[in-house]
Amino acid sequence: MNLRTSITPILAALLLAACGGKADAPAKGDREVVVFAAASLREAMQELAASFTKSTGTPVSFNFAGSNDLAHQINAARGMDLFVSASEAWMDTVQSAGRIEAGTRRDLLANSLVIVGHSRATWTVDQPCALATVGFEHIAMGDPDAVPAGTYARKWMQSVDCGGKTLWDGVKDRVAPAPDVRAALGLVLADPGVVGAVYRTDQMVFAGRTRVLFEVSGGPPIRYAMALVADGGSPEAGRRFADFIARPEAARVFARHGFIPLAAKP
Amino acid sequence: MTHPVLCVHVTLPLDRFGLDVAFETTHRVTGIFGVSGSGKTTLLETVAGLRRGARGRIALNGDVWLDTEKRVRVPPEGRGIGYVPQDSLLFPHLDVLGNLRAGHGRARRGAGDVDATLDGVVTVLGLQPLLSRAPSTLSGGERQRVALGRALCSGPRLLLLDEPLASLDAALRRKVLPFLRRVRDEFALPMLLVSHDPVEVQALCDDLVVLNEGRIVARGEPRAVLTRPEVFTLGEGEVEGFQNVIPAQVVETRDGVSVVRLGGAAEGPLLTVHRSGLAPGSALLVGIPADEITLALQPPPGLSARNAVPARVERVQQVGASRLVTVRVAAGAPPLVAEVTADALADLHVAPGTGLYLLVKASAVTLYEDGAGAA
Amino acid sequence: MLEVLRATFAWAAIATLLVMVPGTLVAYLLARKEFRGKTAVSTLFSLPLVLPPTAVGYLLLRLFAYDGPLGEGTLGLDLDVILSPRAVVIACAVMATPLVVRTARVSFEGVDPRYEEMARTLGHGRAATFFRFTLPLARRGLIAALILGFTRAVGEFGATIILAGNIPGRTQTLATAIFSAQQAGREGEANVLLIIALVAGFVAVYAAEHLSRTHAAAVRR
Repeated sequence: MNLRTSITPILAALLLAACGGKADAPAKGDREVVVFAAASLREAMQELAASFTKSTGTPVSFNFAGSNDLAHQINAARGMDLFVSASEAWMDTVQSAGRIEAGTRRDLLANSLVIVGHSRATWTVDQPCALATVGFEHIAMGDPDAVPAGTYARKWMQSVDCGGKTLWDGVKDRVAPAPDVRAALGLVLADPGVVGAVYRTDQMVFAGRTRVLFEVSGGPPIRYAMALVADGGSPEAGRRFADFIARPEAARVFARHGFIPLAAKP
Repeated sequence: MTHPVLCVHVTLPLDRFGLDVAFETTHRVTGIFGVSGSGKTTLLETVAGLRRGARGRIALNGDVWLDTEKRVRVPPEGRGIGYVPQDSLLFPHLDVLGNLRAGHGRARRGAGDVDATLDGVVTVLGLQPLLSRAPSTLSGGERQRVALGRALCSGPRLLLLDEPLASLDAALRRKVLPFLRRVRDEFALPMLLVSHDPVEVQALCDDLVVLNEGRIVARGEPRAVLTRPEVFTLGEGEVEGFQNVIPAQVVETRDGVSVVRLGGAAEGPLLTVHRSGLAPGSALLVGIPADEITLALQPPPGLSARNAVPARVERVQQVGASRLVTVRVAAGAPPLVAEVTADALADLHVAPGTGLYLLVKASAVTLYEDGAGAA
Repeated sequence: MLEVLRATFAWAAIATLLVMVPGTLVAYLLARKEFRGKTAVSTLFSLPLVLPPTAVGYLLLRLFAYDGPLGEGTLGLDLDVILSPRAVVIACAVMATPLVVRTARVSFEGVDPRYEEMARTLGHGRAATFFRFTLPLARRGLIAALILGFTRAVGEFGATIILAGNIPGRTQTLATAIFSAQQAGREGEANVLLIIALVAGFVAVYAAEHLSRTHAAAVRR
């Protein structure tokens, strides 16, 4: 449904760039803002974009995917205005490729991990190491080698000591890597034998059909970083949208979706 | 010897007309004659059990294959037929021997020595050199012989032949026809033969059913049926006129020509023809196109045609602008038919009983050499 | 890496064989029989060809989910499909079905039904006719169907990753291994797997092309 609306401007922008068009020329009027955002931000971002468009008249189109995918795409193509990454590491990748506007990077949000089960799951996990002993078949998470949520989860589990071995050692044989957090959550929804390590915000979207088994605390900090992309198609509008989602009003929206807003820019 | 009784009473709706046929036959070889599109092949496929939707009754010797009133429909594999389609339909994934053995399962279940039958078929049809060949490497005549052999080796109780010679050229037809006659004579099997070729049906059939637009329009002894005006005109445009086909015997061969005696009877007239490869005394069939026979009241002097055969007129029939004159050349020989124009006939004042001479060029006579040795 | 290749080929082979028997029968029915709803059946068996593989994967996931039609909550017994090697085989089989059915159907349609009638008149029943005449006459096309189905199964990704996941050493296939390697930026590993996929794909399609061409030539004769 919004696939077409989100892909078309990107294709147009790519075409422009390929034809040698001046993609970085000053925007004439308010053109569309193209935002590449981590998949976990979908609901909150769409809500904010709707009110942005309502007040400014400038449409916003999104490409939601794993931050790793987005980073690869931004480094390979042109035409997107704003990148909101679920991890500092993938933002670093884009930055070191010289693909962001200097001075525009800032931390926007924090998130936390939960261990989630099917709504029928009856296991009790009162402390981290108990996770290794309950009888789930698989623990689904974003691919720890690539997807930030998975990377965070592994990092946290590796830091938990369970009597000489780490929690990761206790579960790694049962890990089912998924292409992104939502795919991992999909497996939890389908099979009561599967638990997942996902963002709290993702679990909240499916609160009725899942049960939080354990809330992770003291894990690695989970930071969402935002930056304007160099050579964007609508730099001015992009800047305005970036400011819009950093305002206190936007912070309240993110908070309602379960994110922890970081110091809002005055 | 009591011949088997084949009983066919069927109706079947087709595109342009309905097939509606009822006949019974006790003859060994029954021909189904008609132009293309007259329903002949459909009738054969119905007897074989390959046509759904046929209604009526089909029985061989009291074994009922189809009786729609009693809800009997024996599938094709239960009918014990040997089917030889017009285009051979040899199985391309089997060699000739494999094709001949394709029906061995049924032959074994029935009586009879399967291997002896195979040997006999291979000998009679001259298939020995072909056994390991692939069907795609065979000539048209060879394919038809293999298809015939395959049907014979399957232990059939009835042979169904669909235009067995139609896909062959004239020269091949002359060669394959004798094989069919040998099959008829050596494997005592009843046959139903579909053909639009008057030569074929005269050479092979004892009984002829003529179909037109799905209905029987004539029935009887082949030569008599084929010369009826309503039948004679059927094949117009499709068949090159009527051809007399009569048995004969080689008398002698000299100077590049052969002399044969028509009808096989001792008093039959002699006819000079092409050189035959057969020894004196051998039996063969000769074909004389009706429109290649010239009639003369006296033996004409200074004639280039080699033959002036005395004959007596039996009947004169009117067929369109032509006249068919049926003549008898000898007491024991079958009658011959000559086709002449109405004008020419009027000048001769011919009537039944008139004595006259048949003038026939040697080159107009076709020999169907049996190859079966002395009669 | 070789273990992934071996497992992928084994699953693809099982999936293809599972599809071949019913797929061949369905293809034969579609090629020879007229029946009500034939177009619907034909379309149904072609559907995985036009649906996004992820849609098929999601459909299968719903099917085998706890509360799905084939789930433990409905059946009362756990088929234990999701995230298991069984899931790989099922996903591959479903995705290979259209190619197997369509290719087999074409090969049956290339066999003149009169050969079957001929076999019947020679005393062979329906089953014997099918096995001793129809199958051998259609064999090259059927081998092509087998190879194409196998190739599709080897290359299956979208449905597999949703139903079976991408668990190294358990449900990871060549396709999902390439995906993982690429996602994690392990380019060397991705390149090796890519070359393996290229070679295997080329050999399989080349063989299928070769067989169907000689089949067409044989039928034309």
